[in-house]
Amino acid sequence: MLTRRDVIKGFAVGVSTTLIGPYIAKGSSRIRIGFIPLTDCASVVVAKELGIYKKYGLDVEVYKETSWPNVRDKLLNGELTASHTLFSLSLSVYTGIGGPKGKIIPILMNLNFNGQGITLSNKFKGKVGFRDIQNVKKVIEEVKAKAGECTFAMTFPGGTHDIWLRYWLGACGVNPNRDVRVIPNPPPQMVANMKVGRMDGFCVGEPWNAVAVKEGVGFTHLATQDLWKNHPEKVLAFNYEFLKAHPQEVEAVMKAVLEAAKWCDNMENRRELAKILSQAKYINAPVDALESRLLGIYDLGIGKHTYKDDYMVFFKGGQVPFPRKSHAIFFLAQFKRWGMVKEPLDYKGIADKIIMQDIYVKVAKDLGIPIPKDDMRPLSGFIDGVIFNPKDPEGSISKYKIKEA
Amino acid sequence: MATKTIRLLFYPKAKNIKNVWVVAEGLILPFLGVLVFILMWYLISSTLAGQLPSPMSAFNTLYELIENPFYDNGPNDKGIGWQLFYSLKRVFLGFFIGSFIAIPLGIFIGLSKKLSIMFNPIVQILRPVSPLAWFPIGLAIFQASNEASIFTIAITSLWPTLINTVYGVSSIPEDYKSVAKVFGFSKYAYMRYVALLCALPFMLTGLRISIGIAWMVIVASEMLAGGTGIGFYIWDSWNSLNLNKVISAILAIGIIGYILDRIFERLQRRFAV
Repeated sequence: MLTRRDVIKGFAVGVSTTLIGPYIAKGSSRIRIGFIPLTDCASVVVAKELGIYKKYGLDVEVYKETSWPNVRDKLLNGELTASHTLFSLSLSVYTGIGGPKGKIIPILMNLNFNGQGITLSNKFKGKVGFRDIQNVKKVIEEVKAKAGECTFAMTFPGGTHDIWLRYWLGACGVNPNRDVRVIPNPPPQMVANMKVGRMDGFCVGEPWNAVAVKEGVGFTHLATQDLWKNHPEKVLAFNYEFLKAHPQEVEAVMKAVLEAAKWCDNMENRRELAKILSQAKYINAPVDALESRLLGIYDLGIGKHTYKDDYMVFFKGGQVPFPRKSHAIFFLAQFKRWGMVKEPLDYKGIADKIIMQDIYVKVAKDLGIPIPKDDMRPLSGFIDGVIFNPKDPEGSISKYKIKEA
Repeated sequence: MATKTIRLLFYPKAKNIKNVWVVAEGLILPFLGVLVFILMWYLISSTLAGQLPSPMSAFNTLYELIENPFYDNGPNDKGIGWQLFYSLKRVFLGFFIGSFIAIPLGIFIGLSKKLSIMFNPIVQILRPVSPLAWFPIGLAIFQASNEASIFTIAITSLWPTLINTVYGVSSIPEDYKSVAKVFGFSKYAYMRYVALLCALPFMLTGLRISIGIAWMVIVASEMLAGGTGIGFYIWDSWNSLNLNKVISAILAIGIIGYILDRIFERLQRRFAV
C-alpha cells in the first residue's frame, strides 16, 4: 500500500533527478548554432550535414528556433553561440526598436542575397500584376473602403522583411505608418489569416511565398530582388561574449560556413540542397516547395517567372558573404525614414560597432576569397530608382517621396 | 502489482463491484462518448471545415508516431515519446518547485487572518495571468529559455495549491485548536499534527488542479522557448502546416493529462480523511 513516506520519497527522487540531470548533460563544450526553418538557412545547415564543421575541428550542433525574438534572446544570453538571423535584427536591437537598446549582436558575415518575397491576397488578383507597383495604391484604397483597413504582415519589427515591406509600400505611394496596418506575425499565422481573408499581404522568406501559392491563398507580387537587386538578407551573427572569448572558434565556424556557402551556390547542387533542407529536422517542407525557387523558377500563382542571375545566392565569388557597413547604414536610414527611430543616429559609429569587417577580411584572406571593394559606395538597383549614398544617409532619405517627417 | 495499479487507476470502485452489468456500463458508456465525439469531428471535418483533417487521417498519423516513439535524429527531429518525456520532465520540475513554494506559504498565510487579508489581493491579481505573459519575465530573470519555461510552469500552477492550502489551514475546526491548547502543543507539534493533517485533503485537491494547469501550460511555454518538448513539436508541425501531427500531439497531451489526473485522484482518495 502506498504510504505518505513512499510518496515523499518518490517526490524527493523525482525532484533530485530532474534537477541534477541537466547539469550532468551540460558538460560538453559544444558550439550551438541556431536557425529558423527558411530556405536561406542553407549554408549553416549544410555545413553540419556535409560534416564541414567537423573538418574544421568543431563540435557544432544546429538548433531549430521558433521565432526571431527567440533567436534574439538566445543570442543575447548566450544560449546560442551563433545564429542565422536577419541583417537588420541586430540594428533593430541596438537602436531599441526590437530589443534592449545598446546591446550588441555582432554581424560576422552575410549568408545570402535575395530570395524573399511579397505575397498579396486573392483580393489583389487580376488588379495587380507581377512587379506591377503602379496599381497597388488603388487596390489598397478599395480594400480599405470595403473592409475598413488593410493589413500587412512581416516577421520582426525593424527586421529585413519589415524594411522590404515598407520600402515596397513607399515605392507604391503608400505610407506604411498611416495608410495601412503593419504587424509582426509568425509565417504560418500569415498564411492562415490570409486564408480567412484577414491578411492582405505579407513579406517573408521562402518557402513561405511558395507555400502561399501552393495553398491557393495568394500570389507572389514580386520577389525582393525585384525591389533591390542583390540585397543583403540573412547574416551569421554571434553572441558577443563568445566572440570576445573564443576568436579562433569564431573564425573556424566562419570558414566552415563559407565552404558550405560555396557548395550551396553551385546550381548543380541545388536539387540536393532542396532535399537536405526539406528533411523534418530542418525546414520540414515538401521538396518541390523549396526546389523550384532555389533554381530561380517561380510559380507566381499568376503565371511563371524565371530569374536568370538574381535568384537566392549564397557566395557569388565572395560578393555575398562580405559584410558591408554601407548596408548597415542603409537599414538605419530606413529606420529613420519611417520614424522608427526619432533621435539623431550615429550611422557610421553604429555600423563600426555591429559589422565585424576585420574578422571577415582575415578569414577571407586565409581562404583566398577575394574581398569586394564596393563598401561605402552608393547603393543602386532599387525599384524606385533612388540611389542611396551611405556617406550621406540623411541626404539620401530626403530623396524618398514617401517618408515620415 | 502492475495490473492492480492499472485497475486502481482506471476503475477505482472495481473492488466493490459484484454486478457485471455495472462493469459493462462503466466500459460501454465512455466508449459511446468517444464514439459520439469522433462522429461529430468527422461530420465537422467533412462539411463545415474542409481544412480540418478527418479522424481517420489523424489517427493514421498518430499510429505512425506511436509506432516509433523514441527515434532520435539529432536535436531537431526526435520521436513523440522523447518530446513528451522532455515536456513531462519540465512539468514535474515546475510543478514541484511551485508546490514547494505554495504549500509552506499557504500554511503560513492560512495560520494568520491578518496575513490572509494582506496577501489576498496580490494572489488574486497574479492568479489569472496567462503563461505567455510570464515567459518573458522568466527569461529576464534566468537568462535561459529552459529555466524560463520551468519558471512559467511553476508560477502559473502554484495558485490552486496555495489557495486551497490557505483555505484548509484557516478552516481548522475550533475544537481541534482547543484540544491542542489544552494539551499544550508546541508550535511545531500544532503545525505537524493539527494544521498539516487538517489541510491535507484541501492541499491534495489544490495539487490535483495544479498538475492539470502545469500540463496545460507546457505547450504555451515550449512554443515560446523552442528546442524540445511537445509544445515545440506542435509549433514545428504547424510551421510545416501539418495539422495531422498537431492533432496527434493534442491527443497525446490529452491522454497524458488524463493519466496524471487519475494518479492525483488516487492520491487524493488515499489521504482524504
